[in-house]
Amino acid sequence: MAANPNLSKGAMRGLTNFISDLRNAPNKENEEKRVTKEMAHIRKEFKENKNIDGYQRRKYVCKLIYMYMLGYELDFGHMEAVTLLSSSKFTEKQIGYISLGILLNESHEMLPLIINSFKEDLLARSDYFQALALAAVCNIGGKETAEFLAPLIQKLLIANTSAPLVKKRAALAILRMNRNHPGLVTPDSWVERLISVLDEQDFGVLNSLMSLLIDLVSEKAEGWEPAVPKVIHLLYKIIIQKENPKEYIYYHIPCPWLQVKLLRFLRYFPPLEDATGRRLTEILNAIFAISESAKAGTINHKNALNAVLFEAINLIIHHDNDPALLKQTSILLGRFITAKETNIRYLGLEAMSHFASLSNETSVMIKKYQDTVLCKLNELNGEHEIKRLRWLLIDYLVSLKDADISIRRRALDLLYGMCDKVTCKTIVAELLSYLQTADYNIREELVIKIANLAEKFASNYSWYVDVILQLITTAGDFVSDDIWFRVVKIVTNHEDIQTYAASTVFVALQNRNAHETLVKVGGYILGEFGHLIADNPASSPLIQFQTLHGKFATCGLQTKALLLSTYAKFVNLFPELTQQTQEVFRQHSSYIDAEIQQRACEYLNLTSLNEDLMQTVLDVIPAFSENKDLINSNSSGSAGIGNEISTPPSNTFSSGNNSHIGGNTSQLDLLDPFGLGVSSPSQQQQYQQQPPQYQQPIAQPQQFFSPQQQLQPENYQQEVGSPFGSGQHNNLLSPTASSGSPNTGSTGSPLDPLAIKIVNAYKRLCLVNDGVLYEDSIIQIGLKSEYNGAQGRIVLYYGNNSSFPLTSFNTTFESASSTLQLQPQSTAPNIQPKAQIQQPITFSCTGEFSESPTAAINFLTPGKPITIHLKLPIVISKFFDPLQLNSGDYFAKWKILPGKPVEIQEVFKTSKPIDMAHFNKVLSEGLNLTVNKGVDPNPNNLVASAQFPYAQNPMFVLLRIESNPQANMCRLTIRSQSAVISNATKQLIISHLS
Amino acid sequence: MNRQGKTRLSKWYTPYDDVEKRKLSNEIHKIVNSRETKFTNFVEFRTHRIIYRRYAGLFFCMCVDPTDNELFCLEAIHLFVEVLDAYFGNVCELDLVFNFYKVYAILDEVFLAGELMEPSKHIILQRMDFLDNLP
Repeated sequence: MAANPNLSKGAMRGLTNFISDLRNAPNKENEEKRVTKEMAHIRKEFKENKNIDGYQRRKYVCKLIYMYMLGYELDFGHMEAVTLLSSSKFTEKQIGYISLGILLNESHEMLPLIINSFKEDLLARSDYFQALALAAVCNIGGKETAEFLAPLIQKLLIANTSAPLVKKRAALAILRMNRNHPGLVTPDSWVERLISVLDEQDFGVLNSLMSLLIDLVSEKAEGWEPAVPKVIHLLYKIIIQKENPKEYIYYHIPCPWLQVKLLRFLRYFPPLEDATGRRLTEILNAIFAISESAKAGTINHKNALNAVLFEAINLIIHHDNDPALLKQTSILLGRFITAKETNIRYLGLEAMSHFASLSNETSVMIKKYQDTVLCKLNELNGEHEIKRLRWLLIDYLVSLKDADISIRRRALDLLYGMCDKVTCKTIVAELLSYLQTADYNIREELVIKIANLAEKFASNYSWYVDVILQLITTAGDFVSDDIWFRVVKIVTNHEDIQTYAASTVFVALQNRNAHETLVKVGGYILGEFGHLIADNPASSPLIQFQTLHGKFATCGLQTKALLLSTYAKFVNLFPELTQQTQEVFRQHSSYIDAEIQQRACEYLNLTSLNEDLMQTVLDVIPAFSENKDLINSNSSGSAGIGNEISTPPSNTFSSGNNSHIGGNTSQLDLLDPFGLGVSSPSQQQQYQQQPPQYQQPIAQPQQFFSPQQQLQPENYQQEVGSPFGSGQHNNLLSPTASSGSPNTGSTGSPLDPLAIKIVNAYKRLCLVNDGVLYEDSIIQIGLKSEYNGAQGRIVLYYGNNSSFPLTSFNTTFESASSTLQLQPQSTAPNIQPKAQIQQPITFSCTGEFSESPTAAINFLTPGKPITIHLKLPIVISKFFDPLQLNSGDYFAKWKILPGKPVEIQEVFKTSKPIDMAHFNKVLSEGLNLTVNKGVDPNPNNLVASAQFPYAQNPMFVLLRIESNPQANMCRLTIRSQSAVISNATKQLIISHLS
Repeated sequence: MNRQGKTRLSKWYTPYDDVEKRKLSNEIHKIVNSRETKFTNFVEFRTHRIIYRRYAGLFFCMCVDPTDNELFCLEAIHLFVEVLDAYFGNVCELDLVFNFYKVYAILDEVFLAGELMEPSKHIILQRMDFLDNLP
């Protein structure tokens, strides 16, 4: 092929030479030297050469960009690139745009400075200038860009006078703005005009427009229905009538990308039953036929064909209404799964797991079809059911052992998705045997999936216990706390398996190399139910104790703490063990770790004090409420993989969950009753009910040893949770929790674990913008929020966690304050199982307020209406703008602001050792205050400030915290122009810092 | 990026700072470079999916949502490479190094906002020809 004659145009010799020099540098050192020299040269030129021309500027900027691409830092040159933007020569302007596209991103501080250049170019007469500016908006456009330019760009898209090349860029620019800053682009008013752009002939415009439309309907499909016939008509023209511009034929296929987008768009709408719907069926059949007929061809031809085919398949699965097409699909997928080409196998497995996650009726059908296919192939008619099943599984299992982890992941998803009551035991057994050889990359996911399946489909719980114990034995390191919490919970709640569980765990513990997780499960189960097997001489109380204590020395602190609690329970169950256990307590009563020490002291006191108290405290744990489903919440990511087809692919939480333990779920773990080890909420409750004098001896050791406690890393305390003390307990007593009790709604006492969870989720979301607001086994409510000045917008995501649809879904919102009124959008009335809907709510704050608005969420589950009352984490600090002040300004403002009642002072005590860095973080990252350095020289004090948008004149909020680390005491002083603001800020700060 | 892990061209449609960018590039290179040629062109990466294709010593990678159509992306990569090949005439890695600014210009003609903007090779080349001849 001949070299492009245009290549030399616009070339810069100096740049080429410079690149050659760097490439020829014999080593890194020489390269660095050359770079330093060049940087100095360019810097000097920019600074001193007043007559620098456009060509030179362009060349220097290019050199700088090249060095930047090699990884060198640039501390100048940005302004020169900006200068190039305003050049009237295209070559110079182009380099300006390209370099800013490389150097900046949407949150770069320089971006607002150049928005005006964007605007000028957008209004330019030459469409190549317009194109450059639009591309820049697509690449680096940020919030300000969107606010400033959105109307202009919208106009460019729908104007008849715009050239195709402008339109297609404008469509993508709007897409970007809408994706990153939803709400700024309001398509409601121009839905019709946008749909009319679909009549455009140019495939390039249609292609970009479809991307935009898909993005818009994925948020809200309502109102876009008129586009559906048009889209189907376009597909008809392309596929059936074959009216396609020649330049858009890609390896004999008319614009595969546009076809894919058109099909994808249809996913967001229910299938049509009229003539248009039949036309779609015709199209889908034609797609099947085309892919059948084209066996040979280049790889690109096949890929393009299959891209369309898989999109069609996903649409068919999604619509789930045409048995004939579904049947064809299942046959086709059956073939893909065994295909030689790995890409096809990968996609086949993926589509198949979508297929398997369909409604029961269909998945029965798919199995029937698969069976037929396989039986024909293998002539296995009449064979035993299990054997048939094994045959069915073999393909998947082969894929599960594929060398390529991508294939293995898909196969695992598929097996997970096709599991049901009948196939469950076989699949779990296969997965368990696979676990033994599986590599580390996939083990964690595998363990979660097995645990989840075992629980979901367990016909009897002894099998479930067996599976989990086997999991721990095979891959103990990957069994997270949630999984063993769950098994403990199930055993506690099901009396019939307690004996079995105790004896199985006891047997498993005989293994010398028992995993530590097994010791935890064993410690817990024997502590609660060991008495059920104590009559057997082989597992007498003493042997049980010895078995556990044999592991004690090698266990971690968390396990040790748990075992101490088990021993305390033993004393209660088997008085004959009192001596041995008390000996252990005594040994550990001066243990170096505060938690262990505290437990040992407390248990020693407890077991030697009066017997009634001991019996009450160490009584058998009552059954747990069933309203939580930790494992499910944890592996919702994996379930989500099967769901993604039914949930429109929007940027929701499910993508973040991705089956990894951690992230926001770990936050919730702390709230789980098991997070406390054996000290369940019921115990706490009992302590609360004790007369005060009982608290005395127990609290004593804690106070006595508190200096050592301070040495502990902060998170350790939370992880293990002291049985009688800090963490959980204080949350309940904190101002937010006590003043916020109405939000617990349907749940009962404030000690209810769900209520604790709600309060904590609310509290956490007061500091961050996105997260889970509420979750139980039926529904998950997630929240995303955005604030800009006095404006706010939150989106609530309601995910159906259950296996039945939630109907008559509606929400009402109430704000106690007239200065904060919410405008929610309406929601769909039903949520399908495992699906998610969202509800955007906008609001503006016209003045100070103190109470967060509340939400009531109503829906019907089969047989029973449910109402959930929640407080929305919209608090005053969300509207704060951080305000940086130096010492002089700060005191000047402080003095202007009046004293009481708007000045508020409060002394509070912190439960944890005072950590100024933590305070700093909470104030600056969570509450949007600027912590001003150097105003107060005392390192134990801090001052912070913010602005609150109030009509034309923002209000100032100034505060100061003085701490006394020895006493864990703080004094907080707040001044603002409003007592309401001061008070609300105080509440927030104290609830998060104490 | 090439097999040695040198990134010749990168475009970020989500804001990251330089350190994060470098870290992500390295991670992606490590994953992609360690895969055998007969493996799929798709691999999970964090919560996303990487679609990649190798041409001689160069990897072209795209990081997309797991819900995106994989073959769509894979062929979009090929479209881009075909455009480069036609523009430079038998493109090689050095062309991309010396003419990086042109490559960025071409990229903006093919992809914008993380989406495929123009699916016709002919139209893209025509457009580049027009732009190259502007003053």
